[in-house]
Amino acid sequence: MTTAQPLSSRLYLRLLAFYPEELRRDYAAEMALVFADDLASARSEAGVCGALRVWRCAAGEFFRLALPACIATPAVRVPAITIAIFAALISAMLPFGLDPAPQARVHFLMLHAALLLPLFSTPFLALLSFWACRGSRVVSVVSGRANEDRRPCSKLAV
Amino acid sequence: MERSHPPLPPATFYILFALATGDKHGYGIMQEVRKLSDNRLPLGPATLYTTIQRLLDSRWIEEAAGPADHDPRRRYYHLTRYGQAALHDEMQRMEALVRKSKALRLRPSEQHS
Repeated sequence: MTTAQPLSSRLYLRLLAFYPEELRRDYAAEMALVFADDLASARSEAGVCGALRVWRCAAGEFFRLALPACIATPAVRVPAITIAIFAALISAMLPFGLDPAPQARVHFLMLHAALLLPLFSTPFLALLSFWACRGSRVVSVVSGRANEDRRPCSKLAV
Repeated sequence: MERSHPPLPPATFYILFALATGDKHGYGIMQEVRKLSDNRLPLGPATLYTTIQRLLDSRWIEEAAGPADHDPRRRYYHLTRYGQAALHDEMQRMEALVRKSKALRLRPSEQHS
């Protein structure tokens, strides 16, 4: 897996960061390979529609398999709950800002931004750094495996 | 024959079915599953390898050596006798269902005949 790899495969590698640890550890390299093969074959058969079909399937799996497993991780659960609480707070407070006077509305929005934005962005940044950190780890593991010219399974390395 | 497990999930059934025709690597299994299910089972890499991992744990499939000139990045999988038995049981269950539906004349084509 090098930089010459298509953008979609690199994006899929990043998505793999959200899958459960045991699945990534044993199969991340093969999953990326199967995805790349499937995408190439779908593109040659049906062009953009084929590529979209493969991505739709990958997105479905992401929401069905990766996200529930990821939310069960404390490193993700805490910021995710915090974001949800702040999102709920902001949307609950929005009607109070609908004062017909434009000046009052500007003041309300400025107060909103000053108080809530830092609180909202902290858990968001925590999630982002978690994703970036784990994503680069997956990429390095997969690159390492791809460069090895042997079977990844120790049982068969005889 | 007494069944010892509940009906198989579609992905499990089709992966066992695909491997019944010979040892295959992940992408080979995916292609065979599409062919066997007439493209009706959307099987992505995550579903494929989650199921493969479960099947390896239950020893229904095992890793195989693969052909001599195969890509070293790909692992091949082989259906074990436990996997064959499970596939056989599932097919018998399906056959029994079809027999029952025929006996009860539940299928539209038989209702009119």
